[in-house]
Amino acid sequence: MCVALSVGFLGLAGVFSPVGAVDLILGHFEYQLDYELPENGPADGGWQTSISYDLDGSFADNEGVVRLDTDGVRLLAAPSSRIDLTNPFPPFGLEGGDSLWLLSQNNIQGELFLGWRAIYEQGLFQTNVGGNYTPSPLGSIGTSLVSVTGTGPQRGGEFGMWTSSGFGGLEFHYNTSDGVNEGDKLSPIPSGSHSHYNWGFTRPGTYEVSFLNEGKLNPQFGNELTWSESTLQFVIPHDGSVNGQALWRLGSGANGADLASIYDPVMQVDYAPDQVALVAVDREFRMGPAGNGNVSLGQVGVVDLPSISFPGTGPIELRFLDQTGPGAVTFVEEGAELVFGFPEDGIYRVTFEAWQGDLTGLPVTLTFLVNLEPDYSYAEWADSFERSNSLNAGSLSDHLADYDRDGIGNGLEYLLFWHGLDPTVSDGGLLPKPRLVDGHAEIEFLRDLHKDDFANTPLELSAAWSADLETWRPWRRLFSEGNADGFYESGAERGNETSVVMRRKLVVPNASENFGFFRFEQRSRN
Amino acid sequence: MKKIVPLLAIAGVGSSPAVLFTAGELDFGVILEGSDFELEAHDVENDIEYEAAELTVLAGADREFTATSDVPAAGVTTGDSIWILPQNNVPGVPYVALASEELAEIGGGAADWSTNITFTLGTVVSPSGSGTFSVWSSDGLGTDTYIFSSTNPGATAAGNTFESVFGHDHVNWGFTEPGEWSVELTASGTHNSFGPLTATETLNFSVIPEPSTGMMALLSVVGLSLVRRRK
Repeated sequence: MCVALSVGFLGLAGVFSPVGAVDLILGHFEYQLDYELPENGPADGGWQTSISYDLDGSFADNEGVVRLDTDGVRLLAAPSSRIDLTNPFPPFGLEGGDSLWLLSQNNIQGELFLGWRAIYEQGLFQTNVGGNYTPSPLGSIGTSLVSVTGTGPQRGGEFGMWTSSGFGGLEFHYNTSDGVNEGDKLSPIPSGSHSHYNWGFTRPGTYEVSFLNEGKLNPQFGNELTWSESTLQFVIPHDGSVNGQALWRLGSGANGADLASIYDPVMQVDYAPDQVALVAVDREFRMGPAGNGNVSLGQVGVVDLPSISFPGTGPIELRFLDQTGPGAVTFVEEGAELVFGFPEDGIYRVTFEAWQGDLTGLPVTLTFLVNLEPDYSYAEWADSFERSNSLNAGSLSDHLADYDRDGIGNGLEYLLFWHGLDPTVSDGGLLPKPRLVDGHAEIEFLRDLHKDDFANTPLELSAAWSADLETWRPWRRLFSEGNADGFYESGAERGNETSVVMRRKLVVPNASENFGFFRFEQRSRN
Repeated sequence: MKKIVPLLAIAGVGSSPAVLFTAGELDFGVILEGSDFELEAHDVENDIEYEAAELTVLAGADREFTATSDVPAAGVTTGDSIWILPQNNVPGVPYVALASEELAEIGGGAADWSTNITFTLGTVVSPSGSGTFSVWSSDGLGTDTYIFSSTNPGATAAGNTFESVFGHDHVNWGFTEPGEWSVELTASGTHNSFGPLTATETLNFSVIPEPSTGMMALLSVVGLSLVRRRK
């Protein structure tokens, strides 16, 4: 399926530059510490900290290393990095059944493989042994943990970094579960070293992890203690689903404000309606109004919550416009709550509009899952739509077929479900539209990592770009593979947090053609 | 561009591989030059490529640990000694990985291959003939997954094979006795144009016992070598 972008582009200089902040969710990257003794000025000016990657994809040499400012990079934990513990994990005080998000010291396909690299000249620094510096022909630096803030810690989340040494041995370098103290130190970090660690987080949300990097110069270089601070931004995604009950904030959408948000009181997070699955319990889902007391720590897909409102003080009423699903949804008011009832298992969409007086908001669609988990399979999706439309069983079983002949294969409709696609309705118009941003071609879309987890799921969502509909340039998923002619994917989340259903964007940073086309593709993963 | 440098000979060890690797990051990795598929050793920090068989990797006396439980895959029972080259970067110690990432950047990258790259353990010669060589990966919770075991392949995850997905993987390397070890390793994969490709090399490890014994062993090796040279 192609989406045309028939607007002239501005060319870019032949140097790759990321467009805005970059979300990294998989692949091999480094937290990189560089130090070069300044010819002039204070010694502290010699530090450079970055997230680095390698243009030739090989960290086995020093060539092609590209450094990104840490302020412009968000480090995302793929949903597959979540471990539901079966046994206690004492370092964080976790019990069996608790969750831990782990960016592993091992290279796991589909996850971020975040190393630690230090580049400085041997002999520049003294060696730090037990907190005492001694002149050295080799020398080393160290990094202390300064603080960990963000919505993850606000939810009680802990952060740690450690190594697994084999035979069950764990060595923690940082662990906030006993606070941030002198024990939270990584030292020594030798010149040229490249190491991998486990990075652990115990709650969804954001983690701004700040370090103090320091070393003492050898006497011939000034004998000075020099340091720098740096902060890494980690984001641990929410489930993207709410079980049984939630609260909503409804608005008119005036002045471009969001129309609605769905508030999960457990995680204190607000979701855009098109990025959250409402999972029925006992074939019911209860929804009530969110009040001022429902503090929102995080927002996924929505911004400026106070703007989601109606201007008056009168009651807000709902008008249900449409529903799809295997059976007829029932609506029962119980006090301030609205109870959605579902007669059959499957996937339901319910569309309504909210209104107050003579002011009516635009339609909002909610997605409910009944006796389905958010990671439902293609077969379960097909079964639900077959029953919803009284189709013969198996009508949608071929993911490569295009039942509704709208040019979007069944599998692609499954992968791009959150755009409202229905495999039995010709609805290509629901696909996202491209746009120009500062001369770059972009297209935003919703990626459901339950359906394509970058590694193990049967189907893969891919894309390509063409200027002439004949020659297609494939999308290279890793940002690290972006270059002057690159075509890459990064985050485009609205709000300060993210979930398993992520808002992403494809970017063509050097699109000099007069017009171009994006094409989404489905692939079978071997 | 990688440098190929003359090998540094170690005097007195004439029958042994010529370069002793004592510390830093080392990748045993596959490369493809034309249709030549080779398994090489890459000294990362000095950016030097070696023929894998021309290198001896040192596991020093400080790498000796005592098993606190029975680990059949590693060939140890409680109280036994095992020398470990760690999957974590410990200053002054070899930090050894299995790698295939360089293939990802040649031609069409991973898309040029119809399979991932498989490393398979072959013949292992231990100093006594009965020692166990093992390789394992430790995850963030401290769980060990065994990749290779020279004496107990049934205890490994995939029968002494390891699939490398065009990346590089640091692992623990275990040896149950001091002395000279040779480990045969085969890398294989199917290239879309060149078909099945295989490279087999012998990796050499030198495991050092406690200092006094180690010095004696080293002197002994040098002495024998000198004797042979005089003949």
